[in-house]
Amino acid sequence: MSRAKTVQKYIRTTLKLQLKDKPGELLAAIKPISESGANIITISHQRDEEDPGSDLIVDIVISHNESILPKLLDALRANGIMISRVGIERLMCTKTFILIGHILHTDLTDTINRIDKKDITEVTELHMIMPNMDEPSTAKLTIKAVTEAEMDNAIEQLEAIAAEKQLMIVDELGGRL
Amino acid sequence: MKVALIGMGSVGRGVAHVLKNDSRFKIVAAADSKSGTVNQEGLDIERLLQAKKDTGRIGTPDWTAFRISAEVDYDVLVEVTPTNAETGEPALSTIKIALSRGKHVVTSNKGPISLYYRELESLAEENEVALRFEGTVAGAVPIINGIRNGLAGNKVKALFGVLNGTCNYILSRMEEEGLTYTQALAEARDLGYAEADPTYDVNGTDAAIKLVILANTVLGMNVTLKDVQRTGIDRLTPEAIKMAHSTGQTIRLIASLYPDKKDLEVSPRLLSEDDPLVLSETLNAVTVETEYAGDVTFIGCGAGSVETASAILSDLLYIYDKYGF
Repeated sequence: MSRAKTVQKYIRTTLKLQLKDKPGELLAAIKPISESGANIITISHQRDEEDPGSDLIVDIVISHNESILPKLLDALRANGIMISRVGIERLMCTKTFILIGHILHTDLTDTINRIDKKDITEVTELHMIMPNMDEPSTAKLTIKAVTEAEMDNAIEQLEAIAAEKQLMIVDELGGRL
Repeated sequence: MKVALIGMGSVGRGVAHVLKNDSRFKIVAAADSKSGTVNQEGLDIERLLQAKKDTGRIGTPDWTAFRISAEVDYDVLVEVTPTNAETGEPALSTIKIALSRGKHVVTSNKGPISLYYRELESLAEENEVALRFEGTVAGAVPIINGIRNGLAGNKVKALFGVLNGTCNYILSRMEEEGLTYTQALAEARDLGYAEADPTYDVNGTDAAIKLVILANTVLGMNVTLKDVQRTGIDRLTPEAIKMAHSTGQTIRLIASLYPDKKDLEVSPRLLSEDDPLVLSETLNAVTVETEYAGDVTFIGCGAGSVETASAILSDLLYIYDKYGF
């Protein structure tokens, strides 16, 4: 029996919805979200003060399993809700590291390429200070990943690279806060 | 209670000082590395400390630590000689002799406890005496008795510690003044916070030995120094600390322990500037994550003469009370 490894990818999505200014509209927007199993993180709405009769713009941030999104969008549309924007943030785990050593001269591009896996783990920030040619440089590196497990894989990869290129890693005290 | 004091360095002199005016205790024998002295009526501690200061010795070469441990009539052996991390000797032998004779032992020596805790503990049990070692970890901070008694019944989920005062001094000076590692180490040496050869401190070995002691003595584990993944602080750059600061973090040498995963590590780590483990000077601290009590943090002096003697005194008083002196 083959066991394909299925990774549950949790993502964070910002929905910008345009609601008619009439009773029951907000409920028509929230009910499908709640029924989809998504977790609502925040809701904010603005009304155009200049034009009291205009549409209501509502921003809703949800976190959910990636697979439910198409169905959820269909359900919202079926309720007559106009969706003006869908912003997806896939990489929800963030970790910061400091690297010390000859970072540039040990092929920085290779270091980053080996961590980057498109839409799964990405180096999203790199800040480097090189005091002198022969002295070790210091870099702050931010890695984002879709899941904790993928983050662990990225860290393992980073540790292997560090051992190979004689870089020192300082990582965050994990499992706290 | 009759005390045999082995070791007249900083801690030994602190113990002599603390016990001097306490009528419950009588120091009947003392030894340093070169000499020893015995008086069943109780030694004159002022004279002993003065002799050590003037001549570097306290008695005659024929009273060695071994001989005192084996022959003198005492109730408790206080063993406070320097740590030998490889073999635990000569303290290991001195302690074994005392336990075998049915004498209580109080020590601040990390060697025997980190290497042979189980063996020494069963020897103490067989002879129905106490083996106490609060002073081995974090000096004056009552971490061993704090976890054992104060947090009794709590499962320890994780433990994080700043267990090396030298490294803490160096890192906090790098943070506060933007010093390089080399500059901060030189400063620590000038102030007597770092030894002439600071290798064991700065490469994480000293903190790792203390972590092994905590793991084996209060968390019921059975680990050795080899089980601790170690990274030192000597490669850290001032830039690393500046970068950490830009996001409200700093760097400290942290000993971490997850008992369930048998995960022991000593390495420089990024932590929030307002974490209770972020301290200046040579302070030590331990945060224990527990089942019921939540997070509990102990902070205090990790070294020092009378500070470490305070840990020894608390062990002595435990024995004094429990064994009805």
